[in-house]
Parts: sequence; C-alpha cells; structure tokens
Amino acid sequence: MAKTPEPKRTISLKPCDGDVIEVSPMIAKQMQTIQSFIEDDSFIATTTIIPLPNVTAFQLSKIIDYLNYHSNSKAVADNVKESTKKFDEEFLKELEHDKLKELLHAANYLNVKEVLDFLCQAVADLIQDKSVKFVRKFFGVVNDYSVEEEEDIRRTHAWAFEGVEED
Amino acid sequence: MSTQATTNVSRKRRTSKDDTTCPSCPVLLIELIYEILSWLPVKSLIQFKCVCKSWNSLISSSDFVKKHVHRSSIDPNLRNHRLLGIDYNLDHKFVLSLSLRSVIDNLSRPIFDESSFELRLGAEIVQSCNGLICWINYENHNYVNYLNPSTKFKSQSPPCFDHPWVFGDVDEPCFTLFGFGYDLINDIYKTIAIYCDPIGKNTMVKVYELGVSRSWRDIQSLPFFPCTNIDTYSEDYGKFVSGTLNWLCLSCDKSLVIVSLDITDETFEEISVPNVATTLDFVESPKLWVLGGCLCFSYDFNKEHILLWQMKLYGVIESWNIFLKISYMDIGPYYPRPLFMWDNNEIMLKINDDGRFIVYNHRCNSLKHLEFRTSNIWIEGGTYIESLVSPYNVGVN
Repeated sequence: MAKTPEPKRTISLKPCDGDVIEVSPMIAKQMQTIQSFIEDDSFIATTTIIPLPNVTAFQLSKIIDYLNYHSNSKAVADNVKESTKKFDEEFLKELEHDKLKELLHAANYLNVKEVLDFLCQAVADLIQDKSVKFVRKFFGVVNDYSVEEEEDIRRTHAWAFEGVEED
Repeated sequence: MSTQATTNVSRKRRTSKDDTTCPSCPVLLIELIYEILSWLPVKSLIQFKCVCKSWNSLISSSDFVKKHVHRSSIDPNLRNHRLLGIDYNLDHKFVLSLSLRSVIDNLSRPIFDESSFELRLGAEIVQSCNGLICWINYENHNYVNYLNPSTKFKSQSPPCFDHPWVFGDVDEPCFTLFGFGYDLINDIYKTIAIYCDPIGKNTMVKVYELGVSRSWRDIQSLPFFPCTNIDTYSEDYGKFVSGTLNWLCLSCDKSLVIVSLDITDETFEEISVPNVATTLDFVESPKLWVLGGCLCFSYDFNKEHILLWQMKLYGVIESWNIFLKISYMDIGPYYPRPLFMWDNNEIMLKINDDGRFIVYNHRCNSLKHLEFRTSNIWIEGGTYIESLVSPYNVGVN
C-alpha cells in the first residue's frame, strides 16, 4: 500500500468507494489516464484529488501493489525472478474470475500497460486448455453458430480439438 | 473513456436468452478480448474460432495474425518458440517440433508436438519466417515448398529454375541458393532464388511473392558470386534481418563481402565484413547468422576458437564487434552453429545434429552444456515461432 511521505509529493486518487489513496508520482506516471490529469494546467499536486468513478478501492490498491512490487524488482538475478514469480502467483490467487475481469477493466480504464499485459496474459493462461464451452461461459459470449456451422469448423480443424476435454 | 461502451455491451449480452452465460458476470470489452487472445498458442486460437462468429473473424483477421506474430516473437518466456527436428524414419522424413523452452530448461524429456509432418526424403529446410517454413527438395531445386507447422497448412511455388541435381557427374555442378523473408511495407512473403554457375561464376536471380504472383519474376543478378559450394550450400541460404536478405560472397579481388538484398526494393548493396576477416579462406568456414535481430559473422580462428562478430546496427560497419569467442577445448572438435538468442545475453549454439547444444551466457561469460539425444532424430532446420500466417495468402486464409 502507498505511504504518505513528507513533504507531500504524492498524487491523491479517489476511487468510487473508500478513502483517498496516495501514490508516488513514479507510480502515477505509469497510469496513462492519471498522467494526462497531471499534465493538465489546472492540476495542483498539493490540493487536487483525482476522482476515479470507474475504479474501486480494492482494484486501485491491487494495481498499485503490482506496480510497487515490480518497480522495485527490475533486477534479473535468478532469485529475484523467482520471488517475482511467487508474487505474481499470489497476486492472481486472490482473484476469482469475475474479480479478475473487473480488474482488467480497471487497468484498461487507468491505461496502465504493465498491469494490463500481465492480466491479459493471466486470462490467456487460464483459458488456454479449456473447452470452447468454458470460454463462452467465461466471457459471457453467445454462440451464434448453427449446429452445422460449428461442426464444419471443428471438422476443418479436427486436429486442434484432439485431446481437449469437453466439460 | 470506455465506461459507456462497457455498459452497453454488458446490457446487450445480459438480455440474451442463452442460459450458459451467467447473468451477473462482467463482460469484457472486445479490445481486451483481442489483447487476451493475442497471448494464446495457435492450437487454442483455432479451437476458439468456434466460440462465436465475431471471434472467428477476429482470429482470422490479418491485423490479429500480425499482432500475434509480434507478441510471440518478443515474448521473453519463449512460449511460442519451437525448435525443428527431423526424424529419419525408414524412407520418409518427418519434421518434428519441440518446445524451445523445454530444451533450454534441459528437461529430461523435451516435449515433441503430438503430430509431425511428413516431408519427402531429401527435404531441406531453407528458413522460417513468422512461423512459415520454406523448404526445398534437395534433388530438385525447381520448386519451393511452404509449411506452417502450427496450422498444418502447406503450399508450393510455381516452377523456378529447372535443373536437376547432379551428383558426382560434374566437378562443380550448378545449384540454386534460396532466401526467404517478409516484406513489411507490402505485407508479402518473398522467396529469392539464385541460380549459381560455379564455372562461369555467374548468377541469375528470381523472386516469387507467396500467394500473390503466379510465377517467378527475374530481377538483377548478384554483383558477386556467393561464397559457397555444394557441400555447404544448405547452410548458406540468405539470412533475413532488418528487411534484407544477406549472402556471403567473394568480390572481384577474392575478398569476402556481404551482399545484401533489400526485400522491398529488390536492390543489392555491399556490406563489408569485419576488416580482419576480408581475406578468410574456405577452410576457416566464414558464415553468416542472425541472432537477436542482428547480423552475425563467424569463422574458425587458428583451429583454436570460433569467433562470432555481431553487427550491432545493421548496415553500419563501425558497429561490428566481437560478440563471442569459444574455445574448442570447451566444446570438442565441432564448429558450433549459433541458433538463437534470448534475454539479450543467452545464446544457444548447436554443437552437432544429434542433440548437443551449449548455452553461452554473454554477461557471465559462462557456458552450459545441454544434451538431448533421441535415435533417428536430428535437430536441424533451426527455430520458428508458432503463428497463424497462411502459406496461401498474405494474412490468413
């Protein structure tokens, strides 16, 4: 969680629920949406509170946690890689499917590339070996193929469906 | 920003009568789905064409295919990188593919693709580019073949230079050198064929645009004769880097020079090899490679070392620098073949075809041996990335 150093050099962010969260300019910079606020002439660091009506306190603090951890562990040594991997796994463990998707939207709204890439990759890992049915349900997508049309695609690429467990 | 769009999409989907979708779950924006899909392996993408019509057209779109290629090629985890192996089984030849990661991590059992591709005996892999493999038939250079091992689609070029492969009958038989690369400006995969007559020391050059043209087209001939012969030519295909194909040639005064073909303009240019290397002889095995997007040049130094130079900035001869120096004491009496570089400092080199590799760490100056032996399987043909690129048309079929 972000601390408030003195004198105040932090950016104040107000999620749609909960209290104002202070972040360092270094972290704020990585959120493109916040960055454009900061670059605006009317922005005064000491007094302006940036409202984030589309982001919850939980989502904001998750994103800040991720950025904080990763900006402090840019080294390439094997043990650092190992602990970063552990952090990433723990980070995702706390997120159920819906929370994960909501966090993706928050990261997209804040336009923070590092988190967005990480979460997209996490969702890809999650669905990679899943059935078409699971994927439809996960994304809330309606199947608009006729039975024949779907059969046709499956037949054309039969090899790709071998060994896939239908659930 | 995108809030309004989210709400609209959600509302529309939620009123659907499909009972398999849960009514309260958040629906992702299509731009996020696009991003997510770009991280998937080809097999999953082909399956997910079945999800719905819009996913099918998204996955089939030329923009997505390019995005996926780009994503795979820069992925530090090398999840879509694969190594080609050839199984000399009976009278057939099979191309096998195994995860490069599993070889690097030195798993005791590297994972082969569940399926393999039968090529005819005598197949010789020229090069892979964006997941497309270009191969020729050793005995008949008249055709070039294309295969995407990830989608299993394949095609063949129209006839090129019609000349049979002559063994033994002639001292210096003619041969055709190939090169394969991607013209980014025109979004076309091009194959270059150089017909070489080693006695007359002249060349004829043709180009074929995959999926676009119906025949090969003549272009200007090479300014110099390629520095290659019948025994080594299968390694001397054009090396594709920075939109150019590169061949090592002998200039008029018998010094080594790189001839580079701009794949878009189809014009040749000369590039100097490192100064100390212009007078190298055949026995010193001068060779070109591409590592980490840079043109590299290797040769045997005094039978003690192999030296590998790297041209840091393509076309800038001042940027040649010695990149690797490996003593034969460490690797045995083989001339190692640089295969692949990742993490900016790990270089994988092939010691021989039956599964011995070394990984050289440039930063730590350390050497690691990898061994992966399977009878009848030869690791040749290099690496490729999994992609959806079609061998029929530009983009996807």
